Amino acid sequence: MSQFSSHLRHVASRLPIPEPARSRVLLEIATDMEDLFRHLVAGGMEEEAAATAVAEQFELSDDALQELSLIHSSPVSRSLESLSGQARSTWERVILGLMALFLIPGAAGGLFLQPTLYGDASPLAFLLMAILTLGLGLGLWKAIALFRPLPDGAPVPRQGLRTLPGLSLLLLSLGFAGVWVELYRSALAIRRAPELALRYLVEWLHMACATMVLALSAALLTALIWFFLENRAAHLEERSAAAILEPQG
Amino acid sequence: MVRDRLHGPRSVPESLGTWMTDPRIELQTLTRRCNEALILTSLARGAKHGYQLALDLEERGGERFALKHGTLYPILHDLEKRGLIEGTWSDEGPRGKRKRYRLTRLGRSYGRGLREGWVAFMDELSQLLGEEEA
Repeated sequence: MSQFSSHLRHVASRLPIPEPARSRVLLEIATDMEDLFRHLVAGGMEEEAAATAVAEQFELSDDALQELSLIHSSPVSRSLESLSGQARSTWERVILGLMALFLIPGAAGGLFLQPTLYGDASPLAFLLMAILTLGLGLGLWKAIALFRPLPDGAPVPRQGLRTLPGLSLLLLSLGFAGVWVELYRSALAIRRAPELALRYLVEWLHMACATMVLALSAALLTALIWFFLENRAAHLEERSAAAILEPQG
Repeated sequence: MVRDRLHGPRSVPESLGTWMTDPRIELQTLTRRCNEALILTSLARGAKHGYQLALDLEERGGERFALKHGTLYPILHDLEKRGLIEGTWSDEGPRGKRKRYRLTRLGRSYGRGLREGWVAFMDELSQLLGEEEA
């Protein structure tokens, strides 16, 4: 809770920025207001006069708010934030949780355990698995950081979170790359031995399916982990912002 | 002719030479470039919180260059988005979390270009005003 909560509520009501960027901007303004207030009081100013001076200094014009809105509305961040922000209600989270717990391992887990899948897939499959392992490790590390109780006022540990959708995209790209590289190799083989064209094509189809199963499952799993962690981070930030916007009393 | 001579040297790599990293000073962008130059110069002297930046400018520049704290945020966030400065949140003990800004390598280069651009601009302005008086 901040002594400038009424001022911050006024700013918040005019700040058309999507979460969690909005909470971050409000937190930054709130902490700077408190620091300037302390600075003025330490310099000998009366508390009441200091509070008035701080509120005047931190008055944000409509132009400034509009500019902030433009800055924080890049297409990429807006789409990422709106994507993760779609599952905020309890029921939506429960459904997504069930999907993550049962559907994905149910559909893909069995396949993942079959050694033939790796044999059939493109050699890139091992790279896919290495990236998935990296994503799982990063996800676990961030989950521990985000679900561990944070001390009051401690920053939400977001570092590395945006890497997860990047890894997901990388997994998909590598999957597609693997399929096309193998198609090219099959085409070369068919040119050398046209009589074996059908065999080469079937082998390529087999390989393409196995590679894409691995790539899609790994990408989906990484994206889901990011989705949950991003929601958790946004929730922590919103809670923090809500605390400073509470009226004093 | 004057317009060309108002442009600062292009110390930012050409590959990044979009509007975001172009330090040229034109009449329409005077206020913005002035604020950017003040902020980058202050950060070149060391990393600071938003409120420290405003205080630093107030102390060094006097009332003429004092920026209201509320007007800093759009500029800071814009500079951050353009990769010229980096803002990081850190836990500062009993004071809680605070956001601190520091200059990036690109920002240092851009700031140098901007300062040189300002010097050239001021020379041209003085020359123009001198001609007017004569």
